[in-house]
Amino acid sequence: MQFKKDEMTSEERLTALFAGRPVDRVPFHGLATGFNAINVGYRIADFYRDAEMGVRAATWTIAQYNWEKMPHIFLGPLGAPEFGGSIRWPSGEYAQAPQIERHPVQSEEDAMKLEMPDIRTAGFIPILRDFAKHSIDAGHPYCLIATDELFLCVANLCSIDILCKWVIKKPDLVHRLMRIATDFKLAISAHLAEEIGTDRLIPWLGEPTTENRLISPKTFEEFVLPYTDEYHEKLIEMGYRIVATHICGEQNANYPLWSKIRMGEPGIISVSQEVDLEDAIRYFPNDVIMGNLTPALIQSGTPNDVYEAARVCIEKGKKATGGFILAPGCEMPPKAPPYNVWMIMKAIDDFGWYV
Amino acid sequence: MPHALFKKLSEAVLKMDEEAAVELSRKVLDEGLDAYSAIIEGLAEGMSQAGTLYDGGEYYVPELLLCADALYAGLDILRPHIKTGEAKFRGKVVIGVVEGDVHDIGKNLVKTMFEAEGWEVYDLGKDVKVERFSQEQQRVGACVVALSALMTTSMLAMPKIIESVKSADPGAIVLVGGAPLSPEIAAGYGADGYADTAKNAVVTARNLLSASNS
Repeated sequence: MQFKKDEMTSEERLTALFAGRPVDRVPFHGLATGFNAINVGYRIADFYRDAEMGVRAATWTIAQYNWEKMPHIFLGPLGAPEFGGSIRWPSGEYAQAPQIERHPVQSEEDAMKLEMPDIRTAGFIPILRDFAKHSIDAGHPYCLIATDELFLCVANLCSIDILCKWVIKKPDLVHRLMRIATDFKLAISAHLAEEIGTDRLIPWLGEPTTENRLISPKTFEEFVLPYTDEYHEKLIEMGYRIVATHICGEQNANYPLWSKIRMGEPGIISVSQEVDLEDAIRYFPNDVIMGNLTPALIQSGTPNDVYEAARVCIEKGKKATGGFILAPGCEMPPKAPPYNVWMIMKAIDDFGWYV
Repeated sequence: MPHALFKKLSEAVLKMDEEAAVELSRKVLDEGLDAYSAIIEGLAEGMSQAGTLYDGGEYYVPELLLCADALYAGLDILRPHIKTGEAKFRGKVVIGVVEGDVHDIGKNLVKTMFEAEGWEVYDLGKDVKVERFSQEQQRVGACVVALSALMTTSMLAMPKIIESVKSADPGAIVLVGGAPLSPEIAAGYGADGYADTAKNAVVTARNLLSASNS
């Protein structure tokens, strides 16, 4: 089956979208990492460990499905290996992504002794830098690099269990760790700006640990909001124009607070499936809204379920005043049935045209 | 009416006061009160109330974790003094995070709620190989197996685990939970139940067990 012929290239579409101009149809971003690897016959670990293979897998998958040319890398444990912890790469049948084996902070004393690592060489940072370089070399107009989740970074340093307890028992220590995480992420962003430039690089903040099944809006307001606001402001000062924020999971009660944070010009707001797209549009009328197909549905639903869910998202998203990108509400399941993924693109072809 | 000391124990857990839970547990023993009753009517009751506050959006995970610390501090003191034959376990549950997944904060909260309700819990930990659940269920004769997953890839281990548990013991009850799961996916995987919170996991297990025994 042939889809209608696009009237814009992906670069034209994304550039127009980010400039607030009309586009031909709803763009799609796969939020794909492990999916790219499996799709081209690589192991999931190859995507994360080898930037060249990662970009190649993303490039081929983007071309195959006619997704937007904006590869994406998210190394969830960022912060742990750079400060002396250890990770393990995904292996076996069920692992999805790198995971933390040992957190660098086990005690209050460890937290007090943390020192800034060498930003050029530590842990995942060379992979992020190389992924961005290869992405630009491969001709992608934009690249999403997950550099800047802050509360998650602190959880990576000391574990989510300890972080949760310290939020109540040792708030000053959590502020100290948030300061370290913010400075660390600012240093990475400055390094990437210097090495790669800011024109095509979009910093990506994904905060799963701030969801309201874990912490309260009050905790968010005290520990996350001020640092994230400062971080975004400094990113924009560095020359990053567009900033992407993935508000991961059930964060309905945090949305009024997220909406106080400067999000970029424009910001990209990646919305999880737990939040109604219409609510997200209301809170972020000037930003590009991205989302919010349920990943578990893409994995386990029937093709018709996926097609119908995509239709609903498209019809809500087309009303976004700052623009819309259809995408999964979180990472594309690495083992998503290819036909379900194709059905998303069919829904765009059937319902996603603006003209 | 619970003894006044048991009520204070319950409040100590609810207020996340580990020191008070320790002090009051010692006082229970000093006054010759029944340790088992102090656990059920005091510590466990406090944890149950904390779960209710979580479900109502008044408590969040930080509060639950500190309540659990107070609960376990009291349990450490009182458990050795339960009279032989007195403790009536509601049942045995095998629990774990499935293969490929190391996110265990949800599993640990479910474990706490089961323990607080008087279940005998066999915790396999995280990144647990598919076949281990069935092996452990068979070894300890558990009536419930509880599985947790946070990733769309790791949740794919669940149908295989359920199949292996059910083929060894068709009467075993399997519960699933975790962010990507839903009642529909749980049913599709052949699970007997799905729970979206730690407290609901225990309620669901209790209800399913009661239905299977009737």
